[in-house]
Amino acid sequence: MNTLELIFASIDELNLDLEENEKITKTEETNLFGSGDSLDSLALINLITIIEEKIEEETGEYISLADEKAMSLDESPFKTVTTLKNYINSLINDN
Amino acid sequence: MIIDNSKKVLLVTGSSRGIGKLLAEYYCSRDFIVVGCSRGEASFKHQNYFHVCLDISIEKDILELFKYIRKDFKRLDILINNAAINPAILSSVLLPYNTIENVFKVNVFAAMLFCREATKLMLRNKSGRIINMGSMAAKHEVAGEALYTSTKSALNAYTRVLAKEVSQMGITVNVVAPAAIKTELSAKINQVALREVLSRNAIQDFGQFADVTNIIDFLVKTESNAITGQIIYLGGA
Repeated sequence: MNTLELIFASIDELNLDLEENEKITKTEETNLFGSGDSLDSLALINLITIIEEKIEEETGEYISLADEKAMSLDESPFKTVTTLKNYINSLINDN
Repeated sequence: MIIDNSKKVLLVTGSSRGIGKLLAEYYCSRDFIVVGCSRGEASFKHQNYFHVCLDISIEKDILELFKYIRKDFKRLDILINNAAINPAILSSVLLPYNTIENVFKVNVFAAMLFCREATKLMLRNKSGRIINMGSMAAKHEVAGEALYTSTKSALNAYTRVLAKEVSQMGITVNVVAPAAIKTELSAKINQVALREVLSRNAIQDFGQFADVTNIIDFLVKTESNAITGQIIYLGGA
């Protein structure tokens, strides 16, 4: 499973728990954090947790997505699906 | 290893001695799966008890522990942040920086990391109970105990805020602050000073271990899902 597929699978899992009008769209442009139509904090925490679990299932390695590097970047890696995908790839490469 | 996944899983830190050990033994006997941790080896054996040696001041060790829980137990229902250190009573004027740093690492930073990782696991079932062990020191503000007291006050504040952040996840977070209990650890403390501090409580005698299990049993009940963000002082501090 590549990183985008992993994020989309995580969104699918999260959507099971969300009401119809809260469901997250699966596109690379989907806003996750920091704009008007982004996820609420609970949904974002849920999504990050599910993604961390899936990375661990896939690679056997636990990677914390909300690390110091994420906090220090000018542009939040959680802004959109694309920024998150790129950030996860950079963490996996660093590991 | 075959684990019964229907049993509730409880994680307690500092489980090789003192209240942590007593809690681990108690909840094993109540048919919980208990995961305990400390720097040293387990100090008791039980079929429901699983011990991990680690240094809780090291984040990597904590992450490894949670990896083990995710893999082998698949769930976490209750976290009891019990481990704490209390350096010898010393004037704030003389406190070395390393001592300040080490005590905060164990008493506050580690507790925060355990809460962070536990919350992620508890999210799976959208329910969980976090108990942070507090101290009457935070209420009595005893001279010479500034460092320990400030860590416990920090934990109180952290608990109250965390309770608000995780309430929608079905997770409650509370502090249980026991009166001094007679354990091998409390026996090492200056007994005259301890008696003096106890005399400031409404109940001026030593607390009992049963007082602690009574309140924790109450907080972990399903029906206690509205009790969160509370600092509960046993003995009336």
